[in-house]
Amino acid sequence: MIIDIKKLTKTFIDGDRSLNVLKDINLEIEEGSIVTIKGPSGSGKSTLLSIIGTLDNADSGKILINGQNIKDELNIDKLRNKNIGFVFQFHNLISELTLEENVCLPKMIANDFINKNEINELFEYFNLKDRMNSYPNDLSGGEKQRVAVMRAIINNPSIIIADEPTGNLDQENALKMTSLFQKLNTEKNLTIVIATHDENVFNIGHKKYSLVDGLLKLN
Amino acid sequence: MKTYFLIAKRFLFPRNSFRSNTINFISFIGLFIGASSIVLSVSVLNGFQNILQTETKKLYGDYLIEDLNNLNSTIYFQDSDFDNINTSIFLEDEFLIVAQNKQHIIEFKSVSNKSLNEFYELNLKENLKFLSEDEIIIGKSLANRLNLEVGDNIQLISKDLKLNSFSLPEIYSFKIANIFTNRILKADDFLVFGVNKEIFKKNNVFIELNGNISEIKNQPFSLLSWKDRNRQLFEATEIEKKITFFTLLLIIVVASFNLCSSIMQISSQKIRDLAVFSSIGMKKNDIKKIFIIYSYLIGISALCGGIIFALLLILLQNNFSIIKLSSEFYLVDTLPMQIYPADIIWLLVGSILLIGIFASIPLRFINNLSPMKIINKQL
Repeated sequence: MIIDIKKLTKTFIDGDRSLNVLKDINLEIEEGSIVTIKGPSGSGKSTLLSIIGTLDNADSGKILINGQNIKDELNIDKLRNKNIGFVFQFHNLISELTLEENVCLPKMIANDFINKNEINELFEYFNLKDRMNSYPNDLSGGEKQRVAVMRAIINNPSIIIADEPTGNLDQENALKMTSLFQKLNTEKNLTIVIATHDENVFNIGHKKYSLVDGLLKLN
Repeated sequence: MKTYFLIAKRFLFPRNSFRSNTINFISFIGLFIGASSIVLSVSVLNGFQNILQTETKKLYGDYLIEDLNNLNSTIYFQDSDFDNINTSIFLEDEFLIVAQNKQHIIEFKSVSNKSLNEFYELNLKENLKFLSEDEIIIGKSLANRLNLEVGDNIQLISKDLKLNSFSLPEIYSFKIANIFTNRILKADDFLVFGVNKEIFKKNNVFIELNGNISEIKNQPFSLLSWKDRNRQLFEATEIEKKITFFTLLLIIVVASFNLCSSIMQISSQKIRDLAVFSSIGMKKNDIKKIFIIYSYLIGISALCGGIIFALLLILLQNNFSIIKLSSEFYLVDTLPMQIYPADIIWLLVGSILLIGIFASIPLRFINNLSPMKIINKQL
């Protein structure tokens, strides 16, 4: 089990109101699987993903990644850098950096050696070889999102967390992105957790969940 | 560090962001002006301080020894080398000068002909020749005040009104051999040089001392250099320099405030990028590093630019005398400018500290950065 979540809860306090966004969530994700989660807006999908991705803390419960409780992890930033890649609804590329620099950013942060051949191959794999020195603003929406995926996988993480990855794409690019996730899952054995509204994306999940009223249900 | 430097550098020149570039430019200009103002002002104060010291030394560059057992007993000698004093004692006391039916209190400084030629720099009207016992050199202002010319005769009367055997005040006659010009401390209005020592004998104030400083050191004397004797004056100029330095440092403080608001603006514009950095594993302290480097890139380039600009102006002034002064009022005919490495180091250290403090203030919000909220809000 690459991700094992036990009795996870999260409550937000808004003035006098307290909102139980996640209620006793239990989730087991196998290595190399695709898990898709859908739910209405505000149902807590992004909160669940940010907790799995170590960007937020749960109020209670336990999250094990590769068998290790993330609460015990001293260097959570390093764990995130090495094991988890994020793809967001918007590309969130750094507009001042070239595509190559954007993609290499996780490696640069980790102070890892950057293998130029490896980067070239990656750009070739994503059909963006001739755009390496371009800036994000020079690309189309679909291309930007592909670069965001490249950045997410550059450190060979074991988990990809994608929050509405096709939410900002047209139908054609959304389909391409969906296929890309399937390809990455098959060819690189990546574990992918996707939160989405898009039925096409939702259907690629080996396990599909719905998050309603803070409760996670297997479809 | 290379990564943070790269990001900071790119943030400094954001693509297609006129507003950010303008904010950065304003911060740069503020620090640039602050640094160049400090260097220029301090260099002018240094210049005048040096003129003051040089001109003072020309007339008062001798050392004074006070007998601690008898404070009325004083000897003077001159030399800049404490360990090998070539004693050339001078005597000094106040007299009343009488000439052309006018009187004025003067300070008579009895020296040797050798020291007149080799030690003092009097800026004389006529060529210096050896003075005889009845010849003196007076200052230009005193000469004007008493309508005196070279060759005129004057009389000196002891201020203590020592009486001779006929119960009359002792009067000494002298001839004016030369006129010197040195307006420092209004010296040419009251200082008179001569070689006669007879007129002091009756005062019985001075003792003679021969030998070297090691002998003097073992005696109950206190040794005062020309700087010690004018300590208040030199300290005042030093304090003036420090006050000017710290006052002008306020420009750097204001510019640092500007830099602080610039960082606030840039960091709020880049908040989503910061959240992305966090999501891909950058520590919050490392995110802060980007903006600290960013501040220092602006700050140090502006400081260095300002300093280099000021140094160029100083170089131009010292070589081409662009700003002229009236030597009647300022002792020199061009604006004196001199800067020391220590002044630059103080400026850099002070400014770098200020920039660091002001740059870190707006970065406290990064501690509460919540990447997922920011990214999902699509700010």
